[in-house]
Amino acid sequence: MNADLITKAMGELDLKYVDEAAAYTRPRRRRVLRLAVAIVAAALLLGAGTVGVASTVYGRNLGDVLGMLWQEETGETMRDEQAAIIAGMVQEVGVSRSAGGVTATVTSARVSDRSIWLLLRMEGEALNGCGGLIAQELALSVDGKVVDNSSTGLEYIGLDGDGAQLYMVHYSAPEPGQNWDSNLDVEIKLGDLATGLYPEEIVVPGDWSMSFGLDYVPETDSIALADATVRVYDRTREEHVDAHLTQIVVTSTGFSFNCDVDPEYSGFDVCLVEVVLGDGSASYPGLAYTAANPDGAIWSVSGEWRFPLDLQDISALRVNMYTIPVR
Amino acid sequence: MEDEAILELFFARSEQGISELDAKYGALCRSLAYNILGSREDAAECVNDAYLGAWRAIPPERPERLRAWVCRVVRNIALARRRKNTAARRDASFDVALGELEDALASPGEVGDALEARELAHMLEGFLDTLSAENRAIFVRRYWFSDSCAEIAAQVGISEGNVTVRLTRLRRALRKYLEDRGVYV
Repeated sequence: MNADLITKAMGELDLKYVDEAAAYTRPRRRRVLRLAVAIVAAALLLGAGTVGVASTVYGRNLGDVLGMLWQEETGETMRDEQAAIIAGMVQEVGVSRSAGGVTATVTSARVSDRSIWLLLRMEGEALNGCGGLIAQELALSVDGKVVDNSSTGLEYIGLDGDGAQLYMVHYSAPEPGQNWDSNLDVEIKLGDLATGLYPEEIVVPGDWSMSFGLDYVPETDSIALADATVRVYDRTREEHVDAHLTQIVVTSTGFSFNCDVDPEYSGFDVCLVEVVLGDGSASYPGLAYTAANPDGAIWSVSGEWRFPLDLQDISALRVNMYTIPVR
Repeated sequence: MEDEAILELFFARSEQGISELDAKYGALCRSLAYNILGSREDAAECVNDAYLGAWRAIPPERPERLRAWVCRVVRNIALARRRKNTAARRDASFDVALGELEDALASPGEVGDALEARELAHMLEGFLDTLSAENRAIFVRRYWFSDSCAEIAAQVGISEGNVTVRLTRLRRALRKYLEDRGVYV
């Protein structure tokens, strides 16, 4: 009876599920997120090389971790002004959930106009000897709505003073301005921790679901830069073309501008945007996103800095090696 | 060849349509039939019968999802053949997968006699909608296509053990999903 009913019921499934399963292949992460992972990995390697230690002991607060990552990446201590700006953006959370002998804690968080960053602490004997793991399931909900999981990443950072693993969870919306309220109800769900190497092996099966509230305060301070013309690569025509940049705005957390190019221009994935600090000797890449306007000619481009910056330190924006100074 | 072009061949009554259908989806269909029948020979005959069924049905029918549609024809024919074939092996992948679901959903003392297959299918669809695309694909590959865990692992790019663990969790989640709705299969 059971077998017949189940067999018949499976046969009655909408064919969309069958088609989806027949065609399913694991999607690649978005390029921008892969870039983010690469930058973090490079930063950790750089840190190990310059500091001369195999493993850094991190603090439990997102602000502390960003300060240490900054030091590893630049070789310099983060200035007090910048640290204070970051500290002002970081919110304590402290919500935990245990499963499979592992306790996951969202220690702290940061919310920007388009992103949510969470510092996740994972502790338990089952993790001993494991390097950075990946979550087989990673879902983030904001105000009850699950965000696009292809825009959500989990990055292993290192160990804290108690040997717990630290991970950065980063969700970035395709475009800034999410019409978020000042209070966000956030839920993160993690399922089954696995090795990141192919084939992925589950190390700790379990579900960790944590709900908490975050405050969102839109960023108000910004710097407007003069319009500029830069050369960008047109993949369709396989040649460089002029692009006129307008409404260039830089904030402590990111940038945005409009880009007027030939309508045939097919993409912005070769556009490199960096922020130039101080005397120009230091620059840091942004994580760029693009969105075409309806007429297909004007592209709205925006992105974020991995570390919030002190606006006073920003001396220029660099787009495809063209420097646009702060006036 | 695009599905639409294959359908056009069927509509033009060109037997090349069957060849193109086989070239594109033959391996998938034979794998599905084999999973249910446990015999390469029976599976090949079953797929041929399905092609004949498709030839008769198209036109007038014009399936929106040709791959899923022909798979369903294969599955139905394979299940019918399996019922008739008293000598059918009971250790085919289909039996193992079905046994897993039965074990997960069985509830002694409460039998869902009144539950229609269509009702249960509707609930299964609701359950599938709660899953990620990857878990949905794993579930359907296992319990619709009766694929082995090794085959699913190869398709999805995760280990066989990972598939096994996920399926265990999915069955548990399905049971809870149905029980929350007062359904005991």
